[in-house]
Amino acid sequence: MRLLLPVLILVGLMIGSLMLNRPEPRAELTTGYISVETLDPQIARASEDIRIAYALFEGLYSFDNEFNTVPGVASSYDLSDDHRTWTFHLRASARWSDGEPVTASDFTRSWMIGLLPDTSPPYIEFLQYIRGGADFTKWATERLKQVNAIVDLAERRAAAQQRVDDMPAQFHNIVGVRTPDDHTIVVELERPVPYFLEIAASWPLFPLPMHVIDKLMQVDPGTGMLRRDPQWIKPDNDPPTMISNGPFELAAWKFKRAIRMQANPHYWNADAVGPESVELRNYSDMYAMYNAYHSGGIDIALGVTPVPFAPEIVEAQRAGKRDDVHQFNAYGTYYYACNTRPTLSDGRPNPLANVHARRALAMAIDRQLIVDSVTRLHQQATTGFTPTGAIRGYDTPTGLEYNLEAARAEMRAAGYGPGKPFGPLLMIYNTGGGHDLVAQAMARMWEQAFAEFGLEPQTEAQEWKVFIKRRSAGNFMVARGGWFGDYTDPTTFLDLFKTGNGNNDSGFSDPKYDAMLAEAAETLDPVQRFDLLEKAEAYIVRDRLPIVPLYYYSIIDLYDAEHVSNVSTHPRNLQMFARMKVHPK
Amino acid sequence: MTRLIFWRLVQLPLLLLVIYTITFLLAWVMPGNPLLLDETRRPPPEIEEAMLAQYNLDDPVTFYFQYLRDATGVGYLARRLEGESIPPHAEVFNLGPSLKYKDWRVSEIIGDALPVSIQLGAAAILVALITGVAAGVAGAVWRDSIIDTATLSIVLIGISLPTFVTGAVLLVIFCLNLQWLPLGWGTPAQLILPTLTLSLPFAAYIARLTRLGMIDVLGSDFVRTARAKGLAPRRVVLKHALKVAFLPVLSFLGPAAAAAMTGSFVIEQVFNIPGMGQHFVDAVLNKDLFLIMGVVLTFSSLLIVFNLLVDIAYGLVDPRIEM
Repeated sequence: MRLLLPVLILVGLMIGSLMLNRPEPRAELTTGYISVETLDPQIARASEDIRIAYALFEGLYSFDNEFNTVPGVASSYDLSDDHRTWTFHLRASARWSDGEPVTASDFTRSWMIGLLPDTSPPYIEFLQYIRGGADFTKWATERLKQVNAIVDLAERRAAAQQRVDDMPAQFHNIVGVRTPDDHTIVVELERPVPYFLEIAASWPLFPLPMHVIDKLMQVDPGTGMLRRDPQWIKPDNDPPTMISNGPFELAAWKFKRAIRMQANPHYWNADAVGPESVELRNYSDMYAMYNAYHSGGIDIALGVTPVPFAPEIVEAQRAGKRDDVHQFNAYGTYYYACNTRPTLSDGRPNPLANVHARRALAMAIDRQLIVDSVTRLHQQATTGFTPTGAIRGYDTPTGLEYNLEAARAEMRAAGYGPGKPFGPLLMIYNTGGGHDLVAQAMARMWEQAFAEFGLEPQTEAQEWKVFIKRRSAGNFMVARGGWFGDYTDPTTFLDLFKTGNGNNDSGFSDPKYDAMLAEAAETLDPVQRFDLLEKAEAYIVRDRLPIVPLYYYSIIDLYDAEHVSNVSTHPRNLQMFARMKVHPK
Repeated sequence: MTRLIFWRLVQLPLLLLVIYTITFLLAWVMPGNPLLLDETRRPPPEIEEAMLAQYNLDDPVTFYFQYLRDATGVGYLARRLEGESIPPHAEVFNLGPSLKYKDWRVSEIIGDALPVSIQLGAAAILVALITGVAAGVAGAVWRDSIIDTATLSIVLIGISLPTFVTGAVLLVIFCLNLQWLPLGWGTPAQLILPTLTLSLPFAAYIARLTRLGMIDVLGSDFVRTARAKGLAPRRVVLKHALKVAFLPVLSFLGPAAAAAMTGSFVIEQVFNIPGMGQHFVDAVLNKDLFLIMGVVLTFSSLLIVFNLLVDIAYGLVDPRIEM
C-alpha cells in the first residue's frame, strides 16, 4: 500500500490542478471553429482563418454585409483617368492596438515582404496586381537561387543577408507603390483592374505590425529565406507582439481549444463594433459543433453544411419547423470537369476531345433531380458556371439544359452509334463529402441516356491527395470539381479555362476563348466588359463544355436571428464578427 | 539492477533512431503535398516550390539529417558555438513547426496535449483501482452471491465491450439526452464521463485479478490462523488477505498505466478532448511531417520509459526476479 501513496498524491494533484482551472466568463458572442491554420493574415488561405483575419486586421478598404466595399484605414481614394493609378488617403485616426498610428509605410513594407517567395504567401497574386509586383517576386526568387547555389557556408550566409539588404531599394525601384507622406499611398497597377478596391480590402493586403515584426525577422541559415518567427502571433509575449489594427485584438489563443478576441480600444471605428468580446471554440468536426450549438454552448454555428443530417435540417426549415436555419448560395460551383486533351495520360485516344461528346454529356444530366433527391440540400441547379446574383451587373448565361433528345443527337454527331460504341467512360471523384452519391447518380443518368451508344460509365473513388494528383495529370475522362471565386468578378471563374492556367484540369485550350478574355481585360467600360465576359462564359457553357456545371454550393448557418443579428447572407460568405449584433436572450 | 538500467538507457537513443527512420520513410512516401489545402486553388508554381523549400520538403536527405540535428539540439549547439545570433524565441531541442497549424511548434502542441492525456489516464487508473479492488474483494468475500454475479457481469461487459461503444453510449445518455454533463475538457464535470469510460476495461481486469487472488488467499492457512486468533473479519480481509492478493494487481498496474495514458485516443475523439490522440490521426491525415515525427517519438520514448519503470518496479517488489 505504501507504494501506492505517491501515485495517489500525484493523481490528487492533477485533479486538483484541473479544478483550479477556472473557465473565463462567457464572451458576448460565442461561436465555433473546426480548424485554423494561422492568424497571420498574409499567409491565411482557409475560410476560417480569413474570417479571423478580418476581425483582427483591416485593410485600406473593408466590406459591409452585402459585400460592398466601404472605407477602412483609408477614408477615400482617387482613381486616375487611365484606371491604373489609385491614390488612397489614410485616416489619421487609424491606430494599432498598442496605440501606434497606422502609417502608409506599414502597408508598403508589409506588401514588400508579402511579395517575397520566402513565406510563400498563397494569395501573392493579389499583390501582383501592382505594377512590378510579379517582377519583384521573380527578382527575389532568382536571388534566392543564386544564394543557395553558393557552396561555401559563410559566403552563402553573407549573400543571403545581402539579398535582404537589397530588398527595399529594389522594391522602391521596380514596384509601383509610392508614399508621398505618412497618410497617402499611391498604387500603380500593371493594368486596369476594375475590382481593385475589393483587392485593397482583402486580407493579403492587410498591414502587418511592422514596428514589432521587424525585430523578429531573421534570415534562416538553412534556406537563406527571410522568415518571421510565427511566435509573434502568440498573445502573451512580453513585450506584446501580436498587435493588430482591426476591430478586435487577440486576447487568448489556446491551441485546438479556443480563440478569444476583445474589442480593440484603439480601433478608429470602435463605436461601430458590435460584440465587446468574441470567443471561437474549437470542435473536432461539424457534428460536434452542431451539438454544441444545440446545447447552447455557442450562439452561432457558421457553415454547418457538412453535417450528415444537413438534408433534414433543410427539410425542417422548408417545412417551417425551424427558423434558425439560414441557407444561401455560396460563391462556388460544383461541376464535373471533362478532359479535353486529345489523348489520355496513358496514351489512349480521348473520346471527350470531341466537343459533341462533351455537349452530349452535359445535356444528359437532370440537375434538379440531383439537388432534390441525391444531395437533398436543394442547392440551386445551374448550367452556367459563374455564381448568379453574386456579382452586381453580371448576368450568368444559361448553358445546355437537360434534353435527352438533343443529347443523343450530339452523341450521334460525335460519330457514335450502334456500329461504333463509345465504350467506357472513366469517371473519377474523391471519397467522402457525399461525392459518391452524386457520382453514382450521374453514372446512371449517362448510362441510361446513352445505352444505345454503348457508353459504360466506370466510377473510381480516390482519397483526396491521390485524386487531385490524378486530376491535374489529366488521367481521367470526367472528374469531380468544385471552384470557389477569390474576388467578386467573373474572371475569377472564367480564368480557369485560360490556356495554361495552373488549375485548368480539363486541359482546355482555345485561342478564341483566350482572345475573348484578353479583349475584356482591355475594356475599361464596366458594362461593356461584363458583356464581353458574358459572351465568353456562354461560349464555355453552351459551345465548348470543358466542364459540366451541376449546382452552386450552399451554405447553412444556424442562429436565432433575435439573438444574433446582422449576419451576412451574401454568397461571398465573409462573416465579420464586428458587424454582428448580439441581443441578450 | 544498475546494469539493466544502464543498458536500457544506452538502447533508448538507438531504438528511437530506428523508430525515427522508419516513421520518416513511411511519412515521406505518403502521397500529396502537406502544404496544399484540400479544396480550391493552387498557388503559383514558384510559391509552391518555395513552400517546400522553406521546410526542406524538396529533399528527403536534407530533411532527414536537418531534423535529426535540430531535434537533438545539435543544430542549436552548433549555432551557439559558431557565435551566430540566436532568434529570441529559439528552442534548443527544435522539433520543428507544424506544417498544418503554422503558428505552432510541435513542442508547443505536444506540451499542450500530453498533460491532458496523462491527466485522463491517471484519473482513469485511479478510478479503476478503487472500483476494481472494491468489486473484486466484495466478489470474493460474498462468493456466488448476487453481488458476485453482478460484479462478474459488469466485469464481463467491461472487458468485452470496446471503449468507443461504451463511450458513445454514455455520451448519448448523459451529455446529449439528459444533458447532465458537458462535453469538452477543462472542468471536473467534463472529466467524469471520459474517465469512467477509459477506466472500465482496467477496472474490470483489476476486479477479476483481485477476486481470483482473494479467493485463493482466503482459503490459505495464514488467513485461517488469523481468523482463529479472533481477529475481526474486516481486518482479516482488508489487512492480511488483500496485501497478498494485491500483488498481481500491482504488476498489472505498470503496463495498465502506460496503456491508459497512451491508449485514450478513441475516447479523446468521442468526447472531444484536446489530448494526444487527435494529433496522431490528424497529423497523418494532413501529412504534417514534423508533427507525425514529434508525436511518434514522444510516445515511443514514453512507452520505453514506462516499460523500464515497470521492470524496475518488479525488481523492487519481487526480489526473486533476477536483474
